Amino acid sequence: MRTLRKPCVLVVIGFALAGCAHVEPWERGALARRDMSVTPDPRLRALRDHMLVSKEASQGGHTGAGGGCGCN
Amino acid sequence: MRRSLCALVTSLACALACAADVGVPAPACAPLAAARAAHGLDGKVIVVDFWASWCPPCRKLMPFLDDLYGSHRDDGLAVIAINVDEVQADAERFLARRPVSYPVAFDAAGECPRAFALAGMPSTYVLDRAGVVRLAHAGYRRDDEAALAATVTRLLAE
Repeated sequence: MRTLRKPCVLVVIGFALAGCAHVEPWERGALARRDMSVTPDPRLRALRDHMLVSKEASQGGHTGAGGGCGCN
Repeated sequence: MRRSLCALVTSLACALACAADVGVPAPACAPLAAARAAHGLDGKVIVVDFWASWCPPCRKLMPFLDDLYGSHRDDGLAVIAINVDEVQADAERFLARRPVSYPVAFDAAGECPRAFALAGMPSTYVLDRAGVVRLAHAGYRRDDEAALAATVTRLLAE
Protein backbone atom coordinates (compact mmCIF):
# COMPACT_ATOMS: atom_id res chain seq x y z
CA MET A 1 0.00 0.00 0.00
CA ARG A 2 2.77 2.29 0.97
CA THR A 3 4.68 1.56 -2.24
CA LEU A 4 1.66 2.70 -4.27
CA ARG A 5 1.37 6.05 -2.56
CA LYS A 6 4.20 7.77 -4.43
CA PRO A 7 3.07 6.75 -7.95
CA CYS A 8 -0.51 7.72 -7.10
CA VAL A 9 0.58 11.16 -5.94
CA LEU A 10 2.61 11.59 -9.12
CA VAL A 11 -0.35 10.55 -11.29
CA VAL A 12 -2.65 13.01 -9.49
CA ILE A 13 -0.09 15.81 -9.89
CA GLY A 14 0.27 14.90 -13.56
CA PHE A 15 -3.46 15.14 -14.15
CA ALA A 16 -3.64 18.42 -12.22
CA LEU A 17 -0.84 19.94 -14.30
CA ALA A 18 -2.43 18.75 -17.54
CA GLY A 19 -5.58 20.63 -16.58
CA CYS A 20 -3.73 23.96 -16.41
CA ALA A 21 -2.95 25.54 -19.73
CA HIS A 22 -1.97 29.10 -20.44
CA VAL A 23 -3.88 30.35 -23.46
CA GLU A 24 -2.10 33.20 -25.19
CA PRO A 25 -4.14 36.23 -26.30
CA TRP A 26 -3.87 35.26 -29.97
CA GLU A 27 -5.04 31.70 -29.30
CA ARG A 28 -8.48 32.53 -27.99
CA GLY A 29 -10.47 32.12 -31.18
CA ALA A 30 -12.21 28.98 -29.94
CA LEU A 31 -12.95 30.58 -26.57
CA ALA A 32 -14.52 33.55 -28.34
CA ARG A 33 -17.12 31.39 -30.00
CA ARG A 34 -20.66 32.04 -28.84
CA ASP A 35 -21.26 28.40 -27.96
CA MET A 36 -18.32 28.56 -25.53
CA SER A 37 -20.18 31.05 -23.38
CA VAL A 38 -21.71 29.88 -20.12
CA THR A 39 -24.93 31.59 -21.21
CA PRO A 40 -24.90 31.36 -25.00
CA ASP A 41 -28.35 32.89 -25.43
CA PRO A 42 -28.42 36.50 -24.18
CA ARG A 43 -32.21 36.85 -24.61
CA LEU A 44 -32.94 33.73 -22.59
CA ARG A 45 -30.55 34.94 -19.92
CA ALA A 46 -32.25 38.33 -19.80
CA LEU A 47 -35.65 36.66 -19.41
CA ARG A 48 -34.40 34.42 -16.61
CA ASP A 49 -32.74 37.37 -14.89
CA HIS A 50 -35.99 39.31 -15.10
CA MET A 51 -37.94 36.45 -13.51
CA LEU A 52 -35.34 36.02 -10.81
CA VAL A 53 -35.38 39.71 -9.95
CA SER A 54 -39.20 39.75 -9.88
CA LYS A 55 -39.55 36.69 -7.69
CA GLU A 56 -36.56 36.96 -5.44
CA ALA A 57 -36.27 40.75 -5.25
CA SER A 58 -32.58 40.31 -5.76
CA GLN A 59 -30.21 41.16 -8.52
CA GLY A 60 -26.70 40.33 -9.58
CA GLY A 61 -24.34 37.54 -8.74
CA HIS A 62 -25.87 35.14 -11.24
CA THR A 63 -23.30 35.11 -13.90
CA GLY A 64 -20.23 33.04 -14.43
CA ALA A 65 -16.85 33.33 -16.03
CA GLY A 66 -16.13 31.43 -19.21
CA GLY A 67 -15.77 31.97 -22.90
CA GLY A 68 -15.03 35.29 -24.51
CA CYS A 69 -11.96 36.40 -26.38
CA GLY A 70 -10.46 38.24 -23.41
CA CYS A 71 -9.80 41.21 -25.67
CA ASN A 72 -9.01 44.66 -24.34
CA MET B 1 19.38 22.68 -8.84
CA ARG B 2 21.83 25.30 -10.00
CA ARG B 3 21.45 24.12 -13.59
CA SER B 4 17.65 24.43 -13.40
CA LEU B 5 17.96 27.92 -11.99
CA CYS B 6 20.30 28.93 -14.81
CA ALA B 7 17.90 27.52 -17.40
CA LEU B 8 15.02 29.43 -15.85
CA VAL B 9 16.96 32.71 -15.78
CA THR B 10 18.12 32.18 -19.38
CA SER B 11 14.62 31.49 -20.66
CA LEU B 12 13.26 34.50 -18.77
CA ALA B 13 15.99 36.73 -20.20
CA CYS B 14 15.26 35.40 -23.69
CA ALA B 15 11.53 36.03 -23.28
CA LEU B 16 12.20 39.60 -22.18
CA ALA B 17 14.74 40.20 -24.93
CA CYS B 18 12.41 38.84 -27.62
CA ALA B 19 9.45 41.04 -26.65
CA ALA B 20 8.76 44.13 -28.72
CA ASP B 21 9.56 46.87 -26.24
CA VAL B 22 9.63 50.55 -27.07
CA GLY B 23 13.10 51.65 -28.13
CA VAL B 24 14.30 48.29 -29.45
CA PRO B 25 14.21 47.01 -33.05
CA ALA B 26 11.07 45.08 -33.92
CA PRO B 27 11.48 41.32 -33.46
CA ALA B 28 12.06 39.31 -36.60
CA CYS B 29 9.34 36.98 -37.82
CA ALA B 30 8.76 35.48 -41.25
CA PRO B 31 5.23 36.78 -42.07
CA LEU B 32 6.20 40.36 -41.19
CA ALA B 33 9.50 40.14 -43.07
CA ALA B 34 7.71 38.71 -46.11
CA ALA B 35 5.12 41.50 -46.09
CA ARG B 36 7.82 44.16 -45.74
CA ALA B 37 9.77 42.68 -48.63
CA ALA B 38 6.74 42.13 -50.85
CA HIS B 39 5.50 45.70 -50.49
CA GLY B 40 8.92 47.41 -50.34
CA LEU B 41 8.36 48.99 -46.94
CA ASP B 42 11.96 49.59 -45.85
CA GLY B 43 12.48 53.17 -44.74
CA LYS B 44 8.79 53.74 -44.04
CA VAL B 45 6.97 54.32 -40.80
CA ILE B 46 5.08 51.08 -40.24
CA VAL B 47 2.03 50.39 -38.12
CA VAL B 48 1.87 46.68 -37.31
CA ASP B 49 -1.60 45.62 -36.25
CA PHE B 50 -2.29 42.16 -34.82
CA TRP B 51 -5.92 41.22 -35.31
CA ALA B 52 -8.33 38.32 -35.56
CA SER B 53 -11.82 38.02 -36.99
CA TRP B 54 -13.11 36.75 -33.62
CA CYS B 55 -11.88 39.85 -31.78
CA PRO B 56 -14.50 42.65 -31.68
CA PRO B 57 -12.13 45.51 -30.72
CA CYS B 58 -9.76 44.42 -33.52
CA ARG B 59 -12.61 44.83 -35.98
CA LYS B 60 -13.40 48.27 -34.58
CA LEU B 61 -9.80 49.42 -34.96
CA MET B 62 -9.52 48.50 -38.64
CA PRO B 63 -11.58 51.35 -40.17
CA PHE B 64 -9.47 53.85 -38.21
CA LEU B 65 -6.24 52.28 -39.47
CA ASP B 66 -7.63 52.31 -42.98
CA ASP B 67 -8.38 56.04 -42.70
CA LEU B 68 -4.96 56.72 -41.16
CA TYR B 69 -3.29 54.80 -43.98
CA GLY B 70 -5.31 56.67 -46.60
CA SER B 71 -4.37 60.03 -45.09
CA HIS B 72 -0.62 59.40 -44.73
CA ARG B 73 0.18 56.82 -47.35
CA ASP B 74 1.88 59.35 -49.60
CA ASP B 75 3.89 60.71 -46.67
CA GLY B 76 5.61 57.34 -46.11
CA LEU B 77 3.21 55.46 -43.84
CA ALA B 78 2.63 51.75 -44.22
CA VAL B 79 0.22 49.56 -42.30
CA ILE B 80 0.66 45.80 -42.06
CA ALA B 81 -2.13 43.82 -40.49
CA ILE B 82 -1.06 40.44 -39.18
CA ASN B 83 -4.01 38.12 -38.87
CA VAL B 84 -3.75 35.42 -36.23
CA ASP B 85 -6.92 33.43 -36.98
CA GLU B 86 -6.25 29.72 -36.70
CA VAL B 87 -8.48 29.21 -39.74
CA GLN B 88 -7.38 31.59 -42.47
CA ALA B 89 -10.72 31.23 -44.29
CA ASP B 90 -12.43 32.99 -41.34
CA ALA B 91 -10.24 36.04 -41.87
CA GLU B 92 -10.68 35.98 -45.62
CA ARG B 93 -14.46 35.79 -45.22
CA PHE B 94 -14.34 38.81 -42.89
CA LEU B 95 -12.09 40.76 -45.28
CA ALA B 96 -14.45 40.01 -48.17
CA ARG B 97 -17.22 41.73 -46.22
CA ARG B 98 -15.10 44.56 -44.82
CA PRO B 99 -12.05 45.04 -47.02
CA VAL B 100 -9.07 47.18 -46.05
CA SER B 101 -6.67 48.97 -48.34
CA TYR B 102 -3.48 48.01 -46.47
CA PRO B 103 -1.67 44.66 -46.79
CA VAL B 104 -2.73 41.76 -44.60
CA ALA B 105 -0.36 38.93 -43.66
CA PHE B 106 -1.61 35.64 -42.27
CA ASP B 107 0.13 34.00 -39.36
CA ALA B 108 -1.98 31.07 -38.18
CA ALA B 109 1.08 29.49 -36.56
CA GLY B 110 1.46 32.49 -34.27
CA GLU B 111 5.11 33.15 -35.07
CA CYS B 112 4.85 36.95 -35.03
CA PRO B 113 2.60 37.30 -31.96
CA ARG B 114 4.99 35.00 -30.09
CA ALA B 115 8.00 37.04 -31.19
CA PHE B 116 6.31 40.30 -30.21
CA ALA B 117 5.02 38.70 -26.95
CA LEU B 118 1.55 40.18 -27.35
CA ALA B 119 -0.15 41.20 -24.14
CA GLY B 120 -3.64 41.37 -25.63
CA MET B 121 -5.75 41.65 -28.74
CA PRO B 122 -5.60 43.81 -30.72
CA SER B 123 -1.98 44.87 -30.35
CA THR B 124 -0.61 47.78 -32.30
CA TYR B 125 3.04 48.68 -32.80
CA VAL B 126 4.42 51.72 -34.56
CA LEU B 127 7.90 51.29 -36.03
CA ASP B 128 9.98 54.25 -37.11
CA ARG B 129 11.84 54.41 -40.42
CA ALA B 130 14.74 52.45 -38.90
CA GLY B 131 12.44 49.64 -37.75
CA VAL B 132 12.61 50.54 -34.06
CA VAL B 133 9.45 50.13 -32.00
CA ARG B 134 8.29 53.60 -30.94
CA LEU B 135 4.81 52.76 -29.69
CA ALA B 136 3.44 49.50 -28.34
CA HIS B 137 -0.21 49.36 -27.41
CA ALA B 138 -2.51 46.50 -26.41
CA GLY B 139 -6.28 46.71 -26.69
CA TYR B 140 -8.41 49.33 -28.36
CA ARG B 141 -10.66 52.12 -27.20
CA ARG B 142 -11.74 55.08 -29.26
CA ASP B 143 -9.58 57.34 -27.06
CA ASP B 144 -6.47 55.48 -28.25
CA GLU B 145 -6.83 56.83 -31.76
CA ALA B 146 -5.47 60.30 -30.96
CA ALA B 147 -2.23 58.95 -29.45
CA LEU B 148 -1.72 56.57 -32.35
CA ALA B 149 -2.30 59.30 -34.94
CA ALA B 150 -0.02 61.72 -33.07
CA THR B 151 2.80 59.16 -32.93
CA VAL B 152 2.47 58.43 -36.64
CA THR B 153 2.49 62.14 -37.51
CA ARG B 154 5.54 62.76 -35.33
CA LEU B 155 7.48 59.84 -36.80
CA LEU B 156 6.64 60.82 -40.35
CA ALA B 157 8.08 64.28 -39.64
CA GLU B 158 11.36 62.89 -38.26
